[in-house]
Order: sequence, then C-alpha cells, then structure tokens
Amino acid sequence: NPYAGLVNHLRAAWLSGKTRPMEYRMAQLEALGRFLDEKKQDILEATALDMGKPSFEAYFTEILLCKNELNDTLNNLSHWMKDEHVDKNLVMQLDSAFIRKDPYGVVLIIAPWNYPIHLFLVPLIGAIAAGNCVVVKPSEIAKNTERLVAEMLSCYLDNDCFAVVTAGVQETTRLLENKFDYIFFTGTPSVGRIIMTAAAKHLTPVTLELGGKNPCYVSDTCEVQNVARRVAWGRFFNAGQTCVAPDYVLCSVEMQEKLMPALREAITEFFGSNPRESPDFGRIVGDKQFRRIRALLCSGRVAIGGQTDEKERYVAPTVLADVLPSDPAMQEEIFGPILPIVVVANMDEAIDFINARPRPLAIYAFSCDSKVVNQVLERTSSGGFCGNDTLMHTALTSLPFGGIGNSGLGKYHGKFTFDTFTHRRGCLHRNMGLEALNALRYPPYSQQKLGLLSATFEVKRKGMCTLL
Amino acid sequence: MERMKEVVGRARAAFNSGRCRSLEFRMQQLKALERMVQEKEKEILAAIKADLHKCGHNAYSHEILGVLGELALAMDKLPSWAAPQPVKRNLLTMRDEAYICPEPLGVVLIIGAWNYPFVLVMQPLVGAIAAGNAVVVKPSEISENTARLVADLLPQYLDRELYPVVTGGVPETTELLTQRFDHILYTGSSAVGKIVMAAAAKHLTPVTLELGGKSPCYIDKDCDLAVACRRITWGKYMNCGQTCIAPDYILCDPSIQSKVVENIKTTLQEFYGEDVKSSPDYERIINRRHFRRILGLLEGQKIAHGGEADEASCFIAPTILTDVSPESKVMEEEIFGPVLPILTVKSVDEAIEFINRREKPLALYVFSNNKKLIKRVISETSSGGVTGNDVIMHFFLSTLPFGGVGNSGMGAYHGKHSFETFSHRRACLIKDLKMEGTNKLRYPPSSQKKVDWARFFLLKRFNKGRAGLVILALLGIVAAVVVKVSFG
Repeated sequence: NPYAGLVNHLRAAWLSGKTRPMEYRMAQLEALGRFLDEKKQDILEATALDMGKPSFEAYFTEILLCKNELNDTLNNLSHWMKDEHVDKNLVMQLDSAFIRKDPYGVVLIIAPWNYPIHLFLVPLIGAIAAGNCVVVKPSEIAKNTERLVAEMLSCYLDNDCFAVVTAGVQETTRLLENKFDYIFFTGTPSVGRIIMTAAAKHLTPVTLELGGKNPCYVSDTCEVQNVARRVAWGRFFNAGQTCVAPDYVLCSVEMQEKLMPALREAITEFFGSNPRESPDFGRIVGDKQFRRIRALLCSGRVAIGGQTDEKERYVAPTVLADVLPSDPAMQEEIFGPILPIVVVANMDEAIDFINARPRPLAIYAFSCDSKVVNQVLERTSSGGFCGNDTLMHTALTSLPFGGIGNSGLGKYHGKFTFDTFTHRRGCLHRNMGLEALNALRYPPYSQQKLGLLSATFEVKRKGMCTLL
Repeated sequence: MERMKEVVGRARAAFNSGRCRSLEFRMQQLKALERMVQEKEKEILAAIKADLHKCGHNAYSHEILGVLGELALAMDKLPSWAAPQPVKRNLLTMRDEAYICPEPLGVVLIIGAWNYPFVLVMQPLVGAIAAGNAVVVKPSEISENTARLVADLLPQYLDRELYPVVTGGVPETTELLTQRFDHILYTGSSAVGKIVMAAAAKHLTPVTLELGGKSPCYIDKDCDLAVACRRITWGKYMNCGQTCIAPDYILCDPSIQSKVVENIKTTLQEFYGEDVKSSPDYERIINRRHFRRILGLLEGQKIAHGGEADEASCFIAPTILTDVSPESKVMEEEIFGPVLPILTVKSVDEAIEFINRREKPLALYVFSNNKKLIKRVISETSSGGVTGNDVIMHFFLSTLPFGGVGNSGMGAYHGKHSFETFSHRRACLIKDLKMEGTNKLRYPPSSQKKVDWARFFLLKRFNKGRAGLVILALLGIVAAVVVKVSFG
C-alpha cells in the first residue's frame, strides 16, 4: 500500500505522545493562524483560479470564518481539555468520577472543492486541538488550492504529526485501506457511503458532512424585498456551490408573482445589469459540473437569467418559475446558481412536500408570522434550520453543524469539532478502603443484602423518601 | 422475510404519525415499561435463570436494578433533556434566537446480546423511547428464554406498532439489517460489529457499537492485595466470566504472582464455598459451543487453580492460569469465561507498553495505593472506560458515558448519554425578517469598507467578561446604526 509508510510514520509520532501536551497543540494552532495570515493573498488567488471565487467571499469564508474558529479554540482549549467531573451516586461519594478527553490517534480529513481551505481547515483545527495526528486530503478538483495546501502547509505544521496527501479517486481508495482512528468526510452522499463502508472494515468512527436539496419556504406574509435579498444572497454565493444553499423555493402562486421582480432587483443590486462582468459573482469549478448544471435549465421556465458560457464556465444567476417536481432541477442537488420555484397551495402542502423527500442539510422558512416559522421547524426534520435568512446558522460557532439521514451524520464547528475528534472516556477512581461497603455486592447472596443494595443504588423518583 | 419489511414499515408509519413526539406519550410508555419490570419481575428472573443459571438475587442486581434506575432517571429528567438549549450568540446574531433543538431520529434498531439478555435491550430501549423514536428490538436468540419473554411482554405494555420485537437468528438479523434505520445500537462482538456497520453504511445510518476486547487489569506491588483480589474475583467470575467489561487478564510483578493466586483462591472460597458447582450463586456457560471454546484455551497452560469442567451442565470452575505467555491462544481472543490468565511484567512501563501494543479494550483496570501511578496508567493508555482500584463499577454510574473505542466500539450510552445517542441535535437560528440593516454588510457589491466591518463583527479575539459583553453590545448597536446610514 503506497500510503502505509506515511500512516505508520504518523502512528509512531502518535505513540510517542508528542501531540498530547496543551502547549504543543496551541503552538500548532497558532502556526495555522500564521498560515492564514501570511498566505492570505495566495489563498484568494488560488480560489479565484479554481472557481472564480470573488475575493470578498474567499476572505469571508476561507480566512475570516477560519480565524474565528481558530480564536474560539485557542481561547477555550484548556477548558475543553479538562476532565469533566460528573455527579456521583451514593455508593461512590468518596470516589473520583470524571470524563477524560482522549485523542483518537491518527485521523483522516477528506475535504471537497467548494470551500477548499475552510472545509479541511476547520476540521483540522478540532483534530489538532483534540491531540490527534492528522492526514489531510484536499480535493483534487480545486487544483490550485490543492497545490497550495500540499506545498505550503508543511512549512507551518510539524511534519512528523501532520501530513497532506494529494490523491484522485484511485489513490484515495488505497488510502482508505489503511486503518485510521477517525475519518472526517465532506462531500456527496454516494461517496459518503463508500467512505463509511471502508471505515467499517476497521471499525473506524466517522463524521459525514453530506448534502441534499435544501428547501426554502416563503409564506404569503413577509417582507418580499428582504426575503428576495436574503434568498438570492444564499443561492448565488459561490455561484451556488454551497452545501447549505437554498436549493429551491416553495411558495404560493401569488408569492411567486411578487418574488420575481424582487429577486430581479436583488440580483441587479448585487451583480449589476451584467453579472458576467461583476467581480462579485463566481464561476463553476469544472467542465463536467458546468454541463451538469446547464442541463438543469430545462425545468419550468427561465424567468431571470439563463445565460451560460462554456469557455468561462459561467452560468448567470437564474430563477426558474413554475418548476414541477418531475423536472430535472428537482431530481438532484443543484449546486449551481439556479433557483427553481415550485408552487404549492399553502404551508401544509409545503411541509408535506418537504417530508416526502430525504432529510436535507438545512431548511429555510420565511415569514413575518413567527407561528409559521415555528410550524415549519416543528413539523420537519433537517440537519439545521434558519428562520428568515439563509446560510447564517452555519456562521455561529456555538451551533452544531451537521446533517441527518442522507445529509450526513455527526456535527462540528466550535467545541463540537473538538468533541468530534475526542474519545470521551468514563473514569472511576475508587478508594481502596471502605471494603466493608462492598460486602453488599459479593456472594453468597441473600435477600437482606439485596434490599440494602437496592437502597444505595437506586435512583428514586423525586418526592419519595431516600436513604441517606 | 417479507415480515421484516412490514414490521419496520409499520414502525415508520407509526413514527410519521407523530404520536411519539409528545413528552406525555413518551412518559406514558416509560411508565408502562416500569410497570412491566415491576409486575413481571418473577418471570424475568426465571427466564434469565433458565438461560444462564443465574440466581434471582444476582439477576435482580445485574439486570433489573439498573433498568429501574434508568427508567426513574429518564422520567425525572425528560422535560429538561428534551428542552431546546439556547446557545451563546455573537455580535451579528445578538438580536436573534439561537438554540439547539433535540429531536427524535426516527426508527432505531436495538440488537441485544445474550450475556445480560434483559438489561442490554432494556437500557438502550429506555433512552430510545425517551428521545421520541420508534424502536425495533431484536434480543439475542442465544438467550432464547429471555428473548421469548421480551417478545411476549413488550406488546402487552407498550405501543405495538412503535416498539415491535423481532426474534430470530443470523438469517433474520441479516434481513433486518437490509432495512433502513435512523440509528442502530448493537451490542456484541467486533467481528459482527463490522458487519452491522457495513450494512448501516448502505443507508448512511449512524451506529453505536458496544463491542468487546481483552480488558487488562494491572496490579501494582504497592497495593492492598487482599482487597484488590476480592474486587477482581467478584468482577471476573460474575456471570461465569461472561461480561464484556470483566477483567480479562492480570498483569503484575512476578514477585506477587503467587500471593495474587492465594488471595483469589481465598476469596473464591468465601464467595462460592468448597464445592463451587453446588453454589446457587455461580452461573453456567451459555451453551456447548462457548463451553468447548473456553476449555480449548486451557490447553498447554499452567493451571494454578480450577480447571474442572462438566459439559452436560456447561459448568467450568473458576480457573487461574499463571506465567501465561503473550503469544498463547488464551491471549488472542476475549476469554468471556471463568479463566483468569496472569502475565508477569517487571514494571508499570512494561505493563503500559504491553497494553498499548494491543487493540484498545472496552475497560481498563489498575490497582495501586499510589494515586500518581493510577493517573499515569490512565493518561498513557486508551480504553472505552476505566475503573481504578476496582472493576466493573464505572458501568454503574450513569453520569459516565459507557462505550468503547477502536476495536471495542464507538459511541456511548447510559443515563443522559442514551438520550443524546438517540437524538438529533438540530441547530436553529431564527432571525427577524424586518431588520435588514447589518445584512447589507455581506451583500455584493463588495468594498474594503464592508470587509473591515465584517472583520469587526466576526472576529472575536478579545476576552469576554461581563463588562466586555455590555461594551460589545453597545458597540454593536452603534455599528448597526452607522452601517445602516452608510449602506442604507
């Protein structure tokens, strides 16, 4: 196996205990911060080359949000690493009972191409903070960013404990034959299944951040212009290549009528009259993806946009009206700058529509009536939920970010990343004395012993008298 | 085989009806489960006795007490466990509602094991019901009396569609695993754990695998050997060694090996009397296959005590082996029987190295008067859980997560951890549709001014004491106003 040497090297470093002390972890994390600061320009350039990522977007998601996570971790690491003492029962009052935060060992992070720095760096922060050794496999589809990470990350991090592997599909399959102690994967559900099946061979726990079609319900009572702006922003960010982007809108035929001019205005506000010339609108990452997205345009009717240019991999910010559930745009996650509007009669129909489909990564609901927002929240299931906006629930580090069902398993961001890469080990450190108390549990058994044992062990309902 | 599809389909339809969402419904089901355990105590103890030759007192304290405890805890805490948890907000979201909402996963599958056949389906079931799921229960067919009892009793007390019991062996379980579940909790061997996870991968189903391994027990020279050995004897030979967290083997200095043997022998006498076979408190091996497997491990070993066996009754006497070699058969697989190998090591360093060369175990035990040594062993090894100066006991504290790591498993449960295992923690952010002001910061067209404002709102390097928060809030309001004016 071509990667066995590398994995063994990291495992040896792991067994040496190098990554355990807090000072070591903090130093590596600070080095990551320097990587973001010193290579900022290179990152903006690489992502611009890879998918025409606007520099504001790249700065926001690849630098700012990552620094946020880094600072949150650096500020709190000592607290997160501490043993968590837990409540004890009567018998254990004199013992020490706590949850120890153990690293797993050698972990693997596989990242996708759409936010190529963010989606390996944020998991990496948690993995390092938790004390692991890490193999990072950035996406081969974002070629320029892949090269940057492969060449430059090693200048900042300890090469004994952290490695970058560049690999296509074949090589990744071979990489997965090695045993890892945790695998963190961001990508499509179909590849997620392959990853989990490979992990099962070694009983490796996994976090899978996948995707789906994120519905966006717009009720009849709302501030149409605000809705249009927020939805358009979420949809067209990164030219639609965002796992939590609003994938399609559900609304009444009257609302569709009102939304259309509002969306047109928002798009013009954002990108001018010719979005192709705006520095703030991205491109599709590759020819294959471009062709796939272009094919989705024959759904419903093109109400806004629809222009494409194959050479530039440009797809205009597009809104499709009167889209049917059977149309191509409704068969797969769009992952492009196309927003289909599917007409439903009312909120109940919207909720049924959503529940008839696989559970998405995010659900959005817009209404001035908070009861409507709450109804959609309560009667559906999704990884996360945002009322009256799009994407923003993923920028708050105190909220867990992850999917459910087809959209994934596990969660991260903030402390949740640290917890993901930590084995929470239950520890009970008992007293050698007071052996007399233990006599209750030893054979030979008797009814009397049992009675006393029950009294000391039992958790009683409140309001009943307890033995103290 | 169509039966599996129907049963799971019915459970899913019942879940989708929404009736197990309300806390009242879940409490009602948990209360019914509690009534079942109390009313049918005799039948439950009889079934366990038939399967494992376990006396009533033992069965009660191992299997019934724990379940009643979990039920009482869940019923007491359910409202607080199920309540949405507000989270810390940043400057940008200061005026919004942000919280984590615990939600049921859907239809979960619980596959039990035969060694503690009642508690190993019931304890997860309590958590799964509390979290609002539908649950398919598959008790182990090897402990056939308890399996049959669970299949009879559950439908008498619980909602029949939401909590069906499926019985059967390997073919039925294989068929069951082709269905889609929203979580699978499996207790059993690592080999089957891999099969369960591979089946779950097809549906992207999260799993909790409670597996096993060889749980090491290090005895330091500096410790009260009589007490240590009594505790070890209790944990090793309970349920005839058929406990996933039993101390599998002992590591100790060669100078104390014979003292260890003597102390264990004395304790065995105290516990089971002269003739172990006639003690009502000593169990039997579950079946012939395991009986023969365990007996096979004794080949070529130095038997310091025990070794007697009787195939007809699946009886194997409490046995101690000394000077065992690490390469021998008894050190290859989890023993899961009343055979205790002792291996000698010259130091705690050697013990730690020995443990770390092998798969991560479900439990780790270390006995010493020296607190520092115990801390060191814990810090330099990895295992599902640990008990220092005793064995098994970390299992009985429900505030500690119970589960494995590496080959011994993934995920954890008990107490609140069960509720969390069977819940989806959904991130919720509710914003105001009217306040558009600060949103303008993030919309194109971009500008340096916007970038600077974005940095201000998002970066949080500074320490947040209470005063800091007030200043922050004030700054936030000022900033929002300024932004509205500049970009309005």
